[in-house]
Amino acid sequence: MDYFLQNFPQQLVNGLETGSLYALIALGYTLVYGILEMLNFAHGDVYMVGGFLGAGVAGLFVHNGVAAVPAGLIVALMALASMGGAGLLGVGIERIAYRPLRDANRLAPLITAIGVSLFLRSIVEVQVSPAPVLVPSNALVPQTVIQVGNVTTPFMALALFVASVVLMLALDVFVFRTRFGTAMRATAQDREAATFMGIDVDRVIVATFLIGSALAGMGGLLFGLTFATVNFFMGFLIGIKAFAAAVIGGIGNVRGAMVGGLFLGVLESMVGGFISTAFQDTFAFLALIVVLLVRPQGLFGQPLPDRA
Amino acid sequence: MSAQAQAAEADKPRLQRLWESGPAGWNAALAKPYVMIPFFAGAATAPFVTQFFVDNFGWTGGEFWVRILATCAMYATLALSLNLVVGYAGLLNLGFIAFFGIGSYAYALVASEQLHQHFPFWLALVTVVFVGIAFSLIIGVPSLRLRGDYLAIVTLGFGLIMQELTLDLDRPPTLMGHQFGPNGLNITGGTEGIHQVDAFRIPKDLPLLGTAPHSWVYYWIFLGFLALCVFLLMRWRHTRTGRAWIAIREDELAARTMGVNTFKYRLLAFTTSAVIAAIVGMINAAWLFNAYPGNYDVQQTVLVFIMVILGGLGSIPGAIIAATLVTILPFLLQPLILYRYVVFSLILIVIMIFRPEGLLGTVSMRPRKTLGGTLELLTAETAIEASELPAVTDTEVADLEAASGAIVEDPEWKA
Amino acid sequence: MAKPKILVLVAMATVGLTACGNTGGGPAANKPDKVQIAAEGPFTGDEASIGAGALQAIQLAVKDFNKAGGVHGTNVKLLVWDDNHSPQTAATQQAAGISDSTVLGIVGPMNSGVVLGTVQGLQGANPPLPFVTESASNVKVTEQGNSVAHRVNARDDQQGPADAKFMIDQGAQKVEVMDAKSDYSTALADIVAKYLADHAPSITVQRDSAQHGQTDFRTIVQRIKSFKADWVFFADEGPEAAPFVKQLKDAGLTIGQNIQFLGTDGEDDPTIITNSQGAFLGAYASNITPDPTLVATAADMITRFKNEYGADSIGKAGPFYGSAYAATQVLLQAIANSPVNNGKISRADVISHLASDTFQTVLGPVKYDSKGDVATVAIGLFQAKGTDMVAVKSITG
Repeated sequence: MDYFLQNFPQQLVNGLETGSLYALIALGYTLVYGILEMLNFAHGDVYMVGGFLGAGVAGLFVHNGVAAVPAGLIVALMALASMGGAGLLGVGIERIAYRPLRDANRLAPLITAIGVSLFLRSIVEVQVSPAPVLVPSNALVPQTVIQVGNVTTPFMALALFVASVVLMLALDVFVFRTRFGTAMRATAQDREAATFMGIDVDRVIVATFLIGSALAGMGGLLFGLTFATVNFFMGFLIGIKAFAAAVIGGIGNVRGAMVGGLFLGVLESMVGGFISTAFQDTFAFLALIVVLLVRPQGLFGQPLPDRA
Repeated sequence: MSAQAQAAEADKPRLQRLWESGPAGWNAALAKPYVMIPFFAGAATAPFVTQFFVDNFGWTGGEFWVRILATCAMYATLALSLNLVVGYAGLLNLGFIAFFGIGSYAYALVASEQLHQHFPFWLALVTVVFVGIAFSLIIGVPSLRLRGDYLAIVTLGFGLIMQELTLDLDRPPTLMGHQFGPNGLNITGGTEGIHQVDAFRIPKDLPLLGTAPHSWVYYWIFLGFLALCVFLLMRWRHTRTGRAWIAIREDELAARTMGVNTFKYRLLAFTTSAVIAAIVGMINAAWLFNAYPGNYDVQQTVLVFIMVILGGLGSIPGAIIAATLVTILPFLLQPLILYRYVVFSLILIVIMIFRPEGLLGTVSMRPRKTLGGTLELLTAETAIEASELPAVTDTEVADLEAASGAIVEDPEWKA
Repeated sequence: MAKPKILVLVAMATVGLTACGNTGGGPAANKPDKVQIAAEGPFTGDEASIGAGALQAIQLAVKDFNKAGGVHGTNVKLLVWDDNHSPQTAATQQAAGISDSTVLGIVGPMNSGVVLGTVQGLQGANPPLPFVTESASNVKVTEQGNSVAHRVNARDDQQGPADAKFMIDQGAQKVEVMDAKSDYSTALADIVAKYLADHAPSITVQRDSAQHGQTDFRTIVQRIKSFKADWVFFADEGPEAAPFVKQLKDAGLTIGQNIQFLGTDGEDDPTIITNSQGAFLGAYASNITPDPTLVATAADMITRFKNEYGADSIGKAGPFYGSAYAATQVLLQAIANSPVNNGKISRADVISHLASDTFQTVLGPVKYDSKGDVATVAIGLFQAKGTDMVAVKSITG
């Protein structure tokens, strides 16, 4: 019990930080699912590509651990590359791979998404690097370790948490307080009715993919700066976890995705820290399965109509 | 079609008609017994052909190619099994390969030193089937009530859990600092897997199987099991279960309205596919003398998906052809091995966009222009079947309509 | 005088006969028609970091051997089998070679799991196909009585005790033993944990696993911190070490100052220093094969390696390039020592020469015991200093 009390605050902080990353990616899943009712399996790999784009930009300006231009500028460029590149990638995928199948059998875009995901992963593995790529974070972001009591957190991990929360709040404002956000919610509710209302559904869909993918790209960048590394398979597992988070929170529900992400991160941390590190993922998925069985609509979702 | 058009149609040579009937027609033609039986008989002679070349031309690739053919047969069976659950029942089982692994490990556990059991073949088979059914029920019963998309993620999670469990259960699990289980508990062999698994014990006095080389025997076993599955699936399609599957796949709501117990049939498809995969896993473990955890990851599932889509959902010959292509191509084109997944995933994407039916598919996944509409729900496949039914004459139509007030299908409406 | 004349005649005839016969050394006189060997390992994929450099070394070794005359004048052909760390792929690749009687041996497989998964097929082949592995360290590789099995590296039961004893000698009190859930690392970590439990019961051990490919280690780091470990032992062959040590540092545990780190072959890699941005400095790593840069007889080979592949190629060649070169030499010399009958060399002869001969390699002489292990292999200990892994000493268990 002592052990638990002693370590709980640190593991909680760890969990919240990991969870904020899950939440950031889960947002992309939930936005797309809300509008298209489709699982975008390629989303995790868009996150991965975002991370690589950021690492690539860093590699241009940082040599042997020394930044050639002010670090802030480099990070800004990295953010531009990650968010912009990932966003464009997401839009491109939608246009090429998903749009032709928009009204087809439900399975079709899912299978295509699996194909896109595998494609992105393998092309990065073969063309860029099968081994992890360094992100020279020491030269780019402060390496201070913040300590409160006996809880420590590296600056960047805290920054990841704060950035994620800020982005999520911004998205929340966008979706609930702006006109375009209302258009998005209308499209999510009933796509045909939205067209009758004069909403350009295609534009809404493109914007959804753009926003979701840009968020994922940002997540990839933040990850790279926090852990100083990116690799070609980092999108896969985190994609599944983020999707699980979105489902737990209530798929299609933006606030649910945020809560679901944080919840899953903390759950993993608790399991890993106090039960067993070897069975961390097992417990995470068991949690998902339990939630789906007990409350399929997730924590915040509405009971879903049983449409065929 | 009018009587004139039908007569004109009958005048065309048979082959031309076959060509014009499109993939659905080819599929129906290839799935006939008079094509399938010679195919399997011919395939079974492949090792003799390779041996001929080895003996007379000094070719050294005999063993290699028999192995590759055996791998093709194995993947063809897996593709059929996935075809059953995705193509017929419309379920996205992303943890599919986990059942293959479960079958391998179940057999390895009862036929090696791991648990000091050495079951004879039939007992091991029964065990593997039982274990396959058990796991598919554990996963299926709770999740098949969920929507298709959720099933995808649950099965994916299940696959990952199984992978993690196989890697970790070579020691008693230590949870919260406490050990659960006796010291020396080693169930799955962990990262090493289970080695020195018994091969099937085949009596030496059997005419062909007893004395043939190891890889030949297993090629024939895989091929035989593939033939068995093909036979069962083709028969099954014409039973009530098969029709129920097709109904569920096309429009679940309509099927439920017609009184089809979708849950029961989905579970049946899920379980059958799981058992087939488990048996394939068992044969694989016996062939390679090993059950190794590295083989059962998501990429393998995606590979089998690619085979199913390429061949065409719902098409048995398609699955076999596609499985063979996907397995053999990387060996024929050596540089392809590195780019294997890049190329295949691209093929998958392109097929899905431009020709979702694949090579010989009969399930139309294209966007539907109308919502509902019973006629559009008929796939080309069932249209061909319908055309093979005895025609209803006009007087019979009139009688039935008068009797029941229902609209009976007009023979002239056959597309 | 008649006798001396006859003697001279006999002498001249003998010289004449031998001059017509042999073109090179070796017991048999004629030239083999075709000689092939295979290199097997994870040359691409997630373990390319150990495989790629080894393949370069094997290719260089074959090239050097052919330049020096090959097998009685016949050049040796090298087949490349990329097994991607999977026994299933390996078995299929090997099948091609098994049925080809001119394939006389394999350098590799590199991974213990692949060896254990395919050795039955190699031993059961007709005739059995021998292999000399440069890196498979699992004990079972040579403990199952297979005449085909040979290795030039040390075994887990030599490396594990050596590592554990080193930590004990350094005064470890609380050791965190970690593996990366792979066939190599789990076995080794288990041996270390057991040795510590058997020989130093006063030391407390905490056992953890990292996932293959894991990058977020904060949960484990927190466990290490609260366990107040003074040593971390991490058996790993891949890229997990770099982010792990960086996160140790972020959590306040700096290697060399308030915690010590001992890694294994995969961590005897200078790129980890760069990839961890310096957090790895001061860490130790043990290697089951000697470092060629420290062996005088390997200096030539290193020069040729750099000439062939570039000045910085040694740094990227991974931990096994030296042993891969040596393993190739062993196999090729065994083949060259075997008799040639009608232009063919038999695998059975190669196996018997592997068992009986002493081989000269860049890493020193190699002579096999009855199991296929080299009698004495030093476990090298290295430390990360500056930009390199610097040799410290040899350790034994």
